[in-house]
Amino acid sequence: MSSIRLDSARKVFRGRDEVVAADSVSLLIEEGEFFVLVGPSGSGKTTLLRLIAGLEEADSGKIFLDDDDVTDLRPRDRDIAMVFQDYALYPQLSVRDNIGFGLKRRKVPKDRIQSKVTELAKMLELENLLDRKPGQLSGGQRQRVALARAIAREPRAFLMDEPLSNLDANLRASTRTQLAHLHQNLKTTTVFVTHDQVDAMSLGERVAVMRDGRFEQIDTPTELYENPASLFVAAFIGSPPINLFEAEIQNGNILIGDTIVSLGSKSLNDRADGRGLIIGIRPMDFEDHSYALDPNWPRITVDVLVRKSLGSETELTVAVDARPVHREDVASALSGAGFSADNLMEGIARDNAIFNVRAHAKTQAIAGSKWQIAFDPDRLYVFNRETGELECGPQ
Amino acid sequence: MLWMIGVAIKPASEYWDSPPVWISKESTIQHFINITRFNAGYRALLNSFVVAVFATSISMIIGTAAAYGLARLRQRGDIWAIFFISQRILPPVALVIPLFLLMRQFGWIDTYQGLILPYVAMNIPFVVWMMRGYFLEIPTAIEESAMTDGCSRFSALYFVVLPLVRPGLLATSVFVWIFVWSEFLIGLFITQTSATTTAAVQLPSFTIANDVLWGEMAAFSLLMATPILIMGLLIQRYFVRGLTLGAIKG
Repeated sequence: MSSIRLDSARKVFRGRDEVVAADSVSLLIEEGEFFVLVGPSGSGKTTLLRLIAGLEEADSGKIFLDDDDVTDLRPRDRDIAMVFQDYALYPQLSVRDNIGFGLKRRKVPKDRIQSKVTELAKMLELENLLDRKPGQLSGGQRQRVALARAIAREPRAFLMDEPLSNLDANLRASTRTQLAHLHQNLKTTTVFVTHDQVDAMSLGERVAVMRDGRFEQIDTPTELYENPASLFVAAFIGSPPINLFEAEIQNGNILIGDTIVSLGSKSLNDRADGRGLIIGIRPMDFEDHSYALDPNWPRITVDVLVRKSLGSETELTVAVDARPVHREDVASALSGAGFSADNLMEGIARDNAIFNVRAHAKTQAIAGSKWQIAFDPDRLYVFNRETGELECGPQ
Repeated sequence: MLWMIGVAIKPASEYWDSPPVWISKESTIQHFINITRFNAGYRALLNSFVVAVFATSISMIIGTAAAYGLARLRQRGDIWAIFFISQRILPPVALVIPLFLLMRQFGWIDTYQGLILPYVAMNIPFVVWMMRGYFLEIPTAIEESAMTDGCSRFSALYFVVLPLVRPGLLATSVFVWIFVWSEFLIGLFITQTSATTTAAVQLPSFTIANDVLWGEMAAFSLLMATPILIMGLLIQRYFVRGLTLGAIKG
């Protein structure tokens, strides 16, 4: 089990266009850490993984496993195990032989291979399937074989490239739990690549949000949620995504529609009158006014567009009298995280911000009417309109 | 086929009998014996065999290696692959005279290598075309998986990829064998004596001055066709899979 260090690793793909997949990035992953690389497609996360694996050669920079410089070593010499998105099992070999393949190649004695395979088959519930071929297995079963194959090698690190992407929702959830348990038991350093922020948030001890070959932020899931470094991270992390609107400071307050919200105790770069800000409020921080936890919370009147009952909550899509945010970083974060751009587009068309609100299950709001929603002013995210950086997060 | 068997064993007098005689009551093996009086006789079959074995194996080895490289290293719209494969477009007849002169220069007229090397050169494009297609069907993730598991690129190819393209290897080999076994034009020019005359070149010589020796021709054709029949039967199941380029899911 090793730490992984990248030192100004750079990788550029030259095709018709030049794509900087890794922009001289440096990173230290601690020994035994479950580290997640998350970001939109094309952000460079798979490239980074492949650089660590040795499947791609860095144009410049170095890669270390513990103190060993592995930059020039072939994948087989790096002692890492990789789990691929489509599992990449050897179709002509049985499950048993698939799991033992790496060990056989390294000339491990037969009886040791045998005991290892049996042990892993038990751990991952593959005992009945040992003599089947991959073509006869379901997706979830293949996944477990791929995992077993990686674990069998007892490598310095696991590298996982979107291993859950091909599973249906239920299987994803249960496999996530299984992975978490495995990591608790084995404690092997793991680098996990995903475009799904739910995976990232639930599995990662630390998560790196990537964009265009660079790190936007590397932090614990909680920190990413509470203190996103930029609008990109704020919009990317959190499901449903954060609601954003533009506002100007007036006497130390901001206006949403007719409602005045004080920026009182918040630490801002500059409180000059007329200064433009971007404000974010998460859907979960809104509430139907009748169910608001604190009667002193500011309320705003909104047009309810859609009401969706989720059982434990109600999801409301509402139009707010506030200016929508039309920015490239927000749009790419939203699409990268897999959210539709409908609300954004609608908002731009109406010139009213469209908000997503998670309200009490028994809210009386109905589509097509006006309603009042309340929010906790302490939960505001205040962003710098020029740079997109967070100036003040929720308290 | 059945008729050919019938002709091969019936006495000459019954060739033209009407109603046709399928299996003569006076079946004879005379025709088979007579073959030995012709040109190379049975040696022609041996020559064909030697040439086919070498030509097939060499073109398969070179062609498959090239095909793997072309399948995995793709550059600028696969321009190299297209270049190699396009060599097939050339009709062999255009090559005959230059090839003859070249072989004469080397002193390879009427030798095995004089046949094998041109055949290898002519078949490599075909092998490349077929095998590249098979290699492209294999997802690269499987090789990468093998490489992280402890294989070098070469052992990944040997242990993981080749077993997966085995149907392709067999199907392509048989096709190449058939091309070489039945090749006439180049063989006609390169072979001069019974030392190297191939079966395909020998076959027309059963048409002599005033007559066609049907019996001998049928007998000889039977013997020529037999190896191919056997090969075809043995790898039959791979043929269909090979032709439809069966999907392999990793």
